[in-house]
Amino acid sequence: MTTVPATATAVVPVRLRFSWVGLGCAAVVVAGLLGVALGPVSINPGRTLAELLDRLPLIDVDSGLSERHANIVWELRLPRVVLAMLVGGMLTISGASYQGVFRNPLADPYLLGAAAGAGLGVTIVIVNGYERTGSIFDALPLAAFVGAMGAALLAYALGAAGGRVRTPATLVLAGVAVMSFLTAIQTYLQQRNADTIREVYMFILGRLTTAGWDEVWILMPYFVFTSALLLAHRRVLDVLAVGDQEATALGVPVTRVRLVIVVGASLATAAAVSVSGLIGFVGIIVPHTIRLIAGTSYRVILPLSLLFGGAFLTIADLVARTILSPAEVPIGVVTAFFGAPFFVAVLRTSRGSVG
Amino acid sequence: MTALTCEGVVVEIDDRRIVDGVSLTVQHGEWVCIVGPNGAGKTTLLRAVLGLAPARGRIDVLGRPLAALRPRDRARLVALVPQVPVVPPGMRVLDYVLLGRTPYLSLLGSARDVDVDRARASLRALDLLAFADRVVDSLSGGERQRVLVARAVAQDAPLVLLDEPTTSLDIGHQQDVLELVDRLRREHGLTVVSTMHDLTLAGQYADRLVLLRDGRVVEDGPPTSVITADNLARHYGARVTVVDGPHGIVIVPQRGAS
Repeated sequence: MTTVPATATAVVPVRLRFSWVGLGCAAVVVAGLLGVALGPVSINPGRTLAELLDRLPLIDVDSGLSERHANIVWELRLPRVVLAMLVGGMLTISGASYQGVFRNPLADPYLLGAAAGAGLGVTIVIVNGYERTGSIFDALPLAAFVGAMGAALLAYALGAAGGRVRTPATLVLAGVAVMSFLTAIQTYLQQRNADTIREVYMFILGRLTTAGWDEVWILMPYFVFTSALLLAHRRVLDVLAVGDQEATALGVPVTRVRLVIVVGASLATAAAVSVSGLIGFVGIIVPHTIRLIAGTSYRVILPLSLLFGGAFLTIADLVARTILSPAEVPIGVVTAFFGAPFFVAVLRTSRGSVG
Repeated sequence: MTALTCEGVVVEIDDRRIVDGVSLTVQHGEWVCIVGPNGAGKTTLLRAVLGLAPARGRIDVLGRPLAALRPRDRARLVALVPQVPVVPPGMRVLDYVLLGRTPYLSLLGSARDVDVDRARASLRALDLLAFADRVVDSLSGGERQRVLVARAVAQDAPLVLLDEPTTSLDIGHQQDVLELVDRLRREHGLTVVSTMHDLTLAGQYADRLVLLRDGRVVEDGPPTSVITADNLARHYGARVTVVDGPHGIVIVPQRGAS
């Protein structure tokens, strides 16, 4: 008989620790404050905080900011910071969900061809003489959204082509096929319209430069809906980690659950891409960092993804707009600069569990 | 009481008939072991009982037709100990065993105290409480196999399917696992259907053996009637001597031409 230490019976199931949530919230606040305070015009962080607190109900604080600085805070920087938080959170939770549902540590939000679909949609609009309207029905984000969602759904449909059972492997292969096909069309269109190449390129590298409150309000319902949907499935993602067959034997309707999670993650990705362009690596770097530090359960990873993903992209955006100030580096370049080495590190430590 | 009834079960995969009209009955509390040469359809038959392989014919578990059951209702009746489990990296033993409670949770719900208590009780029954905080993929083969059985016990299903439960274990751990399954079967009133390659162990632990060949039942009965030198020569192409020892039959391979 094995001797049971007294502490063994006190072992509790994995759960989201309050300390991690607290740290995530602190990261969001600090990143947000830095994002609003720093830029070509530096604003005292203390005064920025006072200005933000002043707008809360029942709080009356005099920030001492000039009207010009207050306008910079409210009309330029805060919407951009909030947008970065939403996009970062959505890309991260989508990436983590894809990694869980495909049981592939290198899966990212663009796995099913969403990036190629968005790229093609945007290229079609730009080569046909795009003019920004700024309305919620602006053609560019709409085309990016439709392209991303269409590509992901096409890959999902092709994943069961020929009467095969839809498995993570067939879905990934279908995603690769869709991506190659759409990228080929996009490249062809770009080559035929070389004068618009820069605009398309800017989208592909990602940008939050045109951010205003309009984009925030457009994105918010998608953020709330997809985050709630994916968070609700966090325990099921832990069950899916034992593979389709065992999960089915444990009573999970695997095909239906996978469809719901893939649609939720693809919707979040499409919505994020429509306002920010293609920002790479966020959906890989942040979930893996959380995994390394806080554990491998999706009950922990998904909620923290929203917080740390938002904070990470806000800081990346801050770097993108300040490092060569007043010029801006595309945010995708910043995330890729950190992401590419990280990607290699994940490959080296994933010990054959890939795929 | 009948725990499992299969009638004319056929499984075809890619136009190939893997299971070809299998009919068998397993009584409550019985341990039936499905044996047969490689490719006989043993694992596919288990997969059909779990609803994992597309099957024609009739499969009833405790009198309820399998095809009419929702996945979670099926999982409350049938638990699986897989041959090659997928162990999620970094998952601890308690969390892994708690997965066995999935059929009792709503799809989007969380584990309740009663589920955690049930998982702990299962660990206690398998003498694994000391391992509760260990990561599953850091365990030895024998310990891991016990954790797999613990997950199936936590599932509280009256019918447990074991697919090659002794593969990759040394002889000592093979005996440990089979003794454990036998003890649980008696204490918890479980019905066990297993597949096994080791015919000596199968004959010593199972009440009944079902010999499959090319997807069909060719022998069905107590070990002494199924495991005979003649049957093993005919269906396995094996040259053996079968010795009826004090603890059951023992199969001794014979070297050289017959």
